Amino acid sequence: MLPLQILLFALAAPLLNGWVDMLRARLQNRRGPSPLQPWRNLRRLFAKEPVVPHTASWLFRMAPYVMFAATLLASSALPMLTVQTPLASVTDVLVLTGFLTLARVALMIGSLDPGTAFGGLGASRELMLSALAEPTLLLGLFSLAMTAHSSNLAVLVGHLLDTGMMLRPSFLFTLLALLMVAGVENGRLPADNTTTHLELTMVHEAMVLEWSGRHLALVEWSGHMKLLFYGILLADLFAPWGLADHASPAMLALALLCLMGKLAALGVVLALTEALLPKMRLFRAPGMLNLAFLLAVLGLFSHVILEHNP
Amino acid sequence: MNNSPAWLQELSAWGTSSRMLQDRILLVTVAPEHWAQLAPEASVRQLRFAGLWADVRDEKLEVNACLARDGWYVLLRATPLDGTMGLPSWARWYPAADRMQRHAHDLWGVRFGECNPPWTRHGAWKADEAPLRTPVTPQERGRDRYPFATFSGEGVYEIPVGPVHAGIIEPGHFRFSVAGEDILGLEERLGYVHKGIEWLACGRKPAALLPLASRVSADSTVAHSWAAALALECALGIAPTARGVVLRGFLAERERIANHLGDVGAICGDVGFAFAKMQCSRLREEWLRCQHGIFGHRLLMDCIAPGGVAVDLDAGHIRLLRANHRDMLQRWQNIAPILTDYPPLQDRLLNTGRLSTVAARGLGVSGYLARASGLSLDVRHDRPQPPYDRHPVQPCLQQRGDVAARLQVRMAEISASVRLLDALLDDLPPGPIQEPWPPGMAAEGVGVVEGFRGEIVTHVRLDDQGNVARFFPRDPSWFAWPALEVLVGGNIVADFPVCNKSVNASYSGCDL
Amino acid sequence: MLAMGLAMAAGLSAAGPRSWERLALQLLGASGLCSLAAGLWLLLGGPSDAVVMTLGVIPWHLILDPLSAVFLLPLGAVVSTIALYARPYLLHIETGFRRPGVATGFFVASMILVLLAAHAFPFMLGWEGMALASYLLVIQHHEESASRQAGLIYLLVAHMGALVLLLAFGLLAHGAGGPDFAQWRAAPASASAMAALALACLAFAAKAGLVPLHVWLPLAHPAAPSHISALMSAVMLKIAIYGMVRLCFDLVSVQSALGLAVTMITTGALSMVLGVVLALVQQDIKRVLACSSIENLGLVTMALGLALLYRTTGHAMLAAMALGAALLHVLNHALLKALLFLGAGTIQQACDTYDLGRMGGLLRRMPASGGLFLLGCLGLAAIPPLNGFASEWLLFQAALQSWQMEQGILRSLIPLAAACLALTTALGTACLLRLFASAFLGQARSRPARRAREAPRAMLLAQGMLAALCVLSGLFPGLLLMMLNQVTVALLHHPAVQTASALIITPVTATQASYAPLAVLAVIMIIALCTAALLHTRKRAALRRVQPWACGLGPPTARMQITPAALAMPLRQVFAGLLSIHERLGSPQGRRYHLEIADRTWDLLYAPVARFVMSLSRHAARLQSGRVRLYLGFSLGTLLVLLWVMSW
Repeated sequence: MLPLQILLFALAAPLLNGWVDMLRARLQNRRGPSPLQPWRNLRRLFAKEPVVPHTASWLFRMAPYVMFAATLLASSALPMLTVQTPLASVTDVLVLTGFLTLARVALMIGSLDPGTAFGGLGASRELMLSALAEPTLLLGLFSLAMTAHSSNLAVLVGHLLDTGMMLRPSFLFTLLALLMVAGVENGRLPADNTTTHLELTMVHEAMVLEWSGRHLALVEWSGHMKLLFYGILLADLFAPWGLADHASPAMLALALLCLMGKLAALGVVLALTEALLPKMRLFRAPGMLNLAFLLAVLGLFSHVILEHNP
Repeated sequence: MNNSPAWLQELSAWGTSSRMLQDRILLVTVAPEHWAQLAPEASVRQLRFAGLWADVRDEKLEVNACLARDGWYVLLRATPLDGTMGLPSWARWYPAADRMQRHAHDLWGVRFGECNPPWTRHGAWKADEAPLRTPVTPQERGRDRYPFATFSGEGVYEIPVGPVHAGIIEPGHFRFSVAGEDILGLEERLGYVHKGIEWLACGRKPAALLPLASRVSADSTVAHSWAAALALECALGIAPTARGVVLRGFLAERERIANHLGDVGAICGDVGFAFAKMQCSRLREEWLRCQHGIFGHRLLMDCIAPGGVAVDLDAGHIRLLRANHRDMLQRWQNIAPILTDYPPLQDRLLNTGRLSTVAARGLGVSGYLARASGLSLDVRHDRPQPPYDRHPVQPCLQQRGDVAARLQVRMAEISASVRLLDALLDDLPPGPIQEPWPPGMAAEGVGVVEGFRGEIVTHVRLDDQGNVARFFPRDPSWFAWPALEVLVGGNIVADFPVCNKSVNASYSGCDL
Repeated sequence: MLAMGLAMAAGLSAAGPRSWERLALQLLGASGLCSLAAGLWLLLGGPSDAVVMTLGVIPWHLILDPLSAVFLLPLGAVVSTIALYARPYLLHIETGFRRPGVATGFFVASMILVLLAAHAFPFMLGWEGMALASYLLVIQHHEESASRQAGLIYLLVAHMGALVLLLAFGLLAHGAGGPDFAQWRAAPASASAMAALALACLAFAAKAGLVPLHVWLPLAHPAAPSHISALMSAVMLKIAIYGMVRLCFDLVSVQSALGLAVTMITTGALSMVLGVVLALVQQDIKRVLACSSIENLGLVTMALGLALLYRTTGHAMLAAMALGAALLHVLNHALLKALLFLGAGTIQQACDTYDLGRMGGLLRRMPASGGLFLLGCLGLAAIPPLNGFASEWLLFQAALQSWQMEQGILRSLIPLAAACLALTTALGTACLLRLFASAFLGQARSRPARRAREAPRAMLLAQGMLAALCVLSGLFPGLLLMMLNQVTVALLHHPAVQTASALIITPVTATQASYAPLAVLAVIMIIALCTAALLHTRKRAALRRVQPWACGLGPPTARMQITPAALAMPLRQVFAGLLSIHERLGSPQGRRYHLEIADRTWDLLYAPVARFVMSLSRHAARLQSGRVRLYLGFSLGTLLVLLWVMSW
């Protein structure tokens, strides 16, 4: 079950990005690439000879693997189709965020290792954005865990599924906060721009400049998986309907359909945001993240004060 | 000379001789020992520095400096003393003169002041050689040590960008000294697309000069060839035909619109606003395709000819063009309000990359760069040559001098130019498009044209056979590049690309 | 057995002066091992041991109970490793071992004494001895004025703390009828005991370097040699925590410590945030570590506050969980911080500087040291599956259970605490990443860094031992928690976590949360190795080495890489309100950049006090006019006042 979910997740991840890319192109009056394009890019990169700077150490070559494995592990612990997940008994939501941090640390170490100007520039910006986005994510998840009295993902999602979607202020605040964090963490507008070629404005893209070949493929793949991770996380927490509670083929098929529908809708939201917003000033982004953090704190507050149910 | 302003008479009093080259263009020959005083004298009289280039006439090296005010141009000419081969530097009073002096030093061997760091040379020949005066021995381009200005202190580091860029843009190197995100200083290094235009021009027939002038900077191909044609016509004392003149104006305005559309889109694209970028790209593409259909070239290259133009319009073309203008105006009026009224975009552009009026005046910038900083400079207005004498142009002014102001100026000029195009078509006189070209003689002339970037000053000198002996097109980018260095100061690194796009200086235009 | 630990250390202080370096260090190491063994022995089920000696008039009541044993563990581990580390390290310091040797032995002995004391006298004796010995170590480089100033401030804070502590102990002894801890334990709750507790906690807070009493810490710790800094940061600060736990949870029975709990939580939260922000902007490697100690001690204090809050509201089980988290973090932080301080010493030896801006690229010159330092950084940054994460996770779990509390107002403290914890965790990651990257990644920024050489084997071994302990305690937190359970059972009658086995920890029930680091590590390793194996098949293993990209201008120079100050700049900008930052461009030609970053606490808190004292003394100085008549008048006045007092 676990290897199956891991494999399915990894293979499906580039498609979400491809879908968003296609939608965004359509919104800009362009025909755009096929949703399979990220897959083709990965195949091309895997076939290429990797190039490594003289100044890089072993960490530079190891970082993509660590990043890939940590992201994949974090993702595989999420309830994707069934409420029960194989890893729920050994990890919880807090450990998940820890592994996302590990992936990011690997990325930053790899970008700083060759000692180039752009890698450092990107890392310094990422340091700022992630140091503000990470606590928001942690806090948002924490406040959801408070509602279920559990940080076990299967129990948490099961609880949300059972109680149904009540319009609680804490949910609303947390949802907003997590949406902002998801955008920032995936290098999306308005905090970062995945499509730019201007090194000086980049955050995430500047950090990956020195990688090539299979290393770059792994880094990009991790990026795709991170987007899917956030997609599924948001779907699990705020729209858990359709998740199978046992693994019968019919239930699984239904769950898969539901998940695809939810992700497609999320992709539309993302593409629309990116089409409508210009990138904000670099030092406005902390303001947005502070707002997200505040919303998360507010969500937690409104939970412990207004929605207390021992 | 009688109705010339007082400052001009005071200035020409320094010269040994002076003569009018053309309407409101005065040539003053000065003694080399007066060269140093002339810069402060001109500076206090608020003359704008408009170019400096060297020339060799009758085996004698001479240096021309062009100064301008209120639509008047003064060409100061001095011959360095044989022993020193040098003149005092003007960089103290006119900072923008520095790089033009270094260019002149690299190619003509004339020294300015004590220190002449390389500019165009790039280690391709020796420091004491001058390829345009004497043959040189080409040498292997080693890793030349270019003296970049360095900043010291805890936490300062340098970001090298270019000459190879990630986008499809020309090569140039930018060296940022930064403290974290804050830009402490920027230094540009250009010269990677040195094409030898000045050398290629020598010995050409006048008619063969225009194709070369068209290729100085492809985005200003009409303006550069028009300026070269004006210089030639001024030298030989002929006037282009009436129809030719209107068509020249027509072509120049079309070029302005195409480039402004591209710039507006690129500025928005650099701040990640893909919607505007795509819309502007589309408008520009349709505009260029229309040009290709009617004039045979997307960028209108080689459409200007000596004595007039090389292309003519018939009634069918005019109908097509009018429809094109109407279409354009309508679509533009749909897009423009979105750009001006969209807070997230304006938030990004307002107060970014400010160039104060004082700094703009000191650097001698022209075009949208000057007009966005509150300087009313527009050759079409200040020197209304045909066809602008019958179709007066009001400069579109802004005061803030930031990226948003430069965007505003461009947007206003797009609307104004589309209307001007229609007016020019209404006014198109019948008749021939070209004047017959007279036999050659030794002469020289200056042409001044407002390209889309700003004022282009072109100097052409013909030898006894009527062949080109010297051709120097002075692109406005010579002043825009130093302005970019000034206006990014105090901004953050991430805002540089949009500042750069809003200036949009040409690499090719000054890497002659 | 426990006497042995003491004797070893004491013997060492005697051995030191005779420059028997090797023997002295061996003795030091043995004392460390003894402490470690004693702690482990007790926690693994040995009986507690008590000794009562009488030397002169002071009754030496010493007792080894689970709580002391828990604190003996890091002490033992750190002392024994620094004994191994010190010899090759001290070869490079001109003063040699003699001077620090005496103080070190004395220092360790005092700390053991404090931990074992079961009576106010030996406790105070050890406490003062610890302060004095560490003062001597701080002014090790007394020829530097910065060192002397750091020592002075340190001594001032230490003695103010000791005075306050003495007052607190006096109050307690008065209330309980004697200075023996057993008497205190038996004494009923009273207002004076509460006041004493608050005073004692103030003293402990000063020792632990909590905000706003933290200003001495970033000055004092870097001034000492690195292995002493390790001892101070990893062990001495923990002694203050020991004091807090001993008094709050064992000796003083105060039923309603709500105010204290809230104060501890807020102080802890403030210390965490300010500590990590300060750590983020430091340029000196040891200052980064010292400021990070403020952060971690704040975290522990917050956990203790949470435990106190839970205990006060009658949730002893949750209190045990929070206390367990605090103690686990004490252990983890001690190991990690010792590892990092030893790493800092190694770097200093290789590059001859503590300035991050003059390092860079050391990983390729010193791969082993770099790997060990990275491990320490990742552990302290709370990256799973290393040990720093386990304790923070447990603290989050303790906070997660706050729904059991009835009072809404108290519950609302939890979000604040959780928010600060989350923020600190993220900032801590940023800070440690910057630390590691500035020292070890990129290109060398100075000549010594270009020529750095790998450290001697003994130093690496010492760090390796600590790193191994970090990894083990990260992968098997259950084993440590099983030991900590004894403490919480003894103090609060509940285990810290309900299920703790070697492989998995489950704080309450499996449906609420559980964490199995080894299993998680196994999965991640399998994925990474499978990916690597898949990608390295066929002929694709080859890769090409090229110059790093500098946009076509040839290879980038060391000036073209980000600097430590620049790396922190965007984040610094966000937290500019907590710091006082001055930037300016100066001569020559406006091309010299000056950056000064200082802690605003000085400006806001200490400077006004200093100004007040100065103005007071200026007023006082007016009295000193130098005229004899006036002085006679003063004497007469004093006499009259005294007479009046006497008669009254």
